[in-house]
Amino acid sequence: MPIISAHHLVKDFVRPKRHSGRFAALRTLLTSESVTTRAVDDITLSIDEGEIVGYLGPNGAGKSTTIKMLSGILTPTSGEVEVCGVVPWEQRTTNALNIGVVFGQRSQLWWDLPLTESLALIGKMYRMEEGKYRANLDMLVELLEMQSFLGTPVRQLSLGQRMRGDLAAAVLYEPPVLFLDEPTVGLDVVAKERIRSFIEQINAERRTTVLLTTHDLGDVERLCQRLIIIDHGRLLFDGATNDLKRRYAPHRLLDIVTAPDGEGSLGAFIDALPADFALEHHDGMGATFAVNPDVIALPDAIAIISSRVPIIDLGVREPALEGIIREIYETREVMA
Amino acid sequence: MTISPSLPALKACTGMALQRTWAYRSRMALWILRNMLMLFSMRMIWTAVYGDRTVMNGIHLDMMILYVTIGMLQAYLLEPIASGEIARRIQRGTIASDLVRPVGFLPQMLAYDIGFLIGRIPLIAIVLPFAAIVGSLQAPPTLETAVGYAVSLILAYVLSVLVWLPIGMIGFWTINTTGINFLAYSVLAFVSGQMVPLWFLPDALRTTLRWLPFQGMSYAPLSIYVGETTGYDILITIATQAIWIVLLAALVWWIWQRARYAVQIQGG
Repeated sequence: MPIISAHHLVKDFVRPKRHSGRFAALRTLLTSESVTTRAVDDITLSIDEGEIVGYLGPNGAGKSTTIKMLSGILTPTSGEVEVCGVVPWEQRTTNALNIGVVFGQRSQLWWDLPLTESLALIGKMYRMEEGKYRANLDMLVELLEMQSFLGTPVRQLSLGQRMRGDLAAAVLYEPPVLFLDEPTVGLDVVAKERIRSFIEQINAERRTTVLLTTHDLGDVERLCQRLIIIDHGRLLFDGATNDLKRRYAPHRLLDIVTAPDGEGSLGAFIDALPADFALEHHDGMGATFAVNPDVIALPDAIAIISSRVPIIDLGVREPALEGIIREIYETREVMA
Repeated sequence: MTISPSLPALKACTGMALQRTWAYRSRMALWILRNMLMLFSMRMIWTAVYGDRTVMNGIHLDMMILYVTIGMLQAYLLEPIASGEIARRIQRGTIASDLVRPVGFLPQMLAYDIGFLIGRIPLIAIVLPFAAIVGSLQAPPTLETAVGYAVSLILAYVLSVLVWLPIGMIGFWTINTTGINFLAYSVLAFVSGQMVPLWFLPDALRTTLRWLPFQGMSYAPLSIYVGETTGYDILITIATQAIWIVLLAALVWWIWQRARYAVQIQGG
């Protein structure tokens, strides 16, 4: 039984047509013409309990719109959704108790009040018992290191602190499902790491299901075994992160550095490159080769190089997800 | 929607709003200063209008100054913030978070409104002595008047909230409500009788306004307080307010059902 499922989900936005030129504002006001944009176009997906799924797509792909439908804020034009067995926009209250939502771009906290007050209000809204509230709050304060700014009005918090406060607010009442819309946007490396390890921990300890949108592929590499990629509202890919890598970039990258006297032999090796090697980069005493482990075993590849070139340093890399995602966004399709 | 499990949550919302009233003390101080200046100029204007006369249309100048003074205090106490709050949340896009709460959006907003109302009561106490000096203050003449005023004032608050809510909800369609807000504010100040008491208006206009909901926001309780509406008329005034509350509540609910499907969160 999937905990989140969507079938043929569609969302159209209808806006009055904007005119330009003379009396544009007046004509826009009086117009009966409208423009329909399809933000989400026939998306079907299903997520099991305890999964962390990365939901990717270029800006304007329809990620946030999907999340808003899954969380019951928007009503879809057509299609079906169930989250924890509930249709989100029909049983709003039940659904609200089942989900935690973070919109990274805007805070759900009360701007002009201390963080603790916001969290206390969340506790009351989500009908938490006092004991449970205290215990969870203490746990979160420690995990997210919030002690020093609990009493600070939210408007005075740094972005990283605010985001931690928002995450705490979203998981305080232990929802089984967490929707995170760009939870690391604009954060520095340390703050990002803190958020990532927190998500990992909550998922491991509570089996919280997480659907995460992000533009930071570091989040994905770190957290998501599974990826869903959409563009123009349509599903491009849904599967294991490793599977995507295997399809796009089955090769490994070998970085080598030669001894000072090896520059010549490296040049000779490159000039008569064996068929299973592809040159990615060459720079004096260093070079990077791409080899496909399905064609030639890595130890054999290394043995071939080291028999002809005096190597003093060697490294093996997986191709970065970033290049793959860039290619998908640019071509707007996923290789079969 | 069940209200009972939401009650503690709503109480917490009210408490939250109450605290926020006090987070804006300097703004409050400016508000008080502005209104004292306005009260002073109103007093000057009405004194000038009366000139040598002490009674116009059967209304004594003292009574007129009392009307203006109580009117100002009332307007300050009852000013609904829910509609402005809705507009702000729509514009900032934070309304998304309000809509994923396990408590209805309108109940949340009403709870905030009540919190702000309670938060302003102590401020009224601070303003009273100034109002007495700049304007004029005196207790309602009879118990009947006092009770009638209290009931009518509470209904006036409910009416103000119900009249302003749809104005805020227009934002669900238009996003920006600054212009509409400004227009509504000016028109309402007139048709509610806050600016000029209905008794000074031409017959046709006065009769029309008397049967519209807006006079119930301000003129109804005021006319009871200053003793213009008495006896049986008090009951009619209160009944008119009550009927409009029922009608407007239905209207607000109807609009809200449409608004929540029109929700288009700004950005992202």
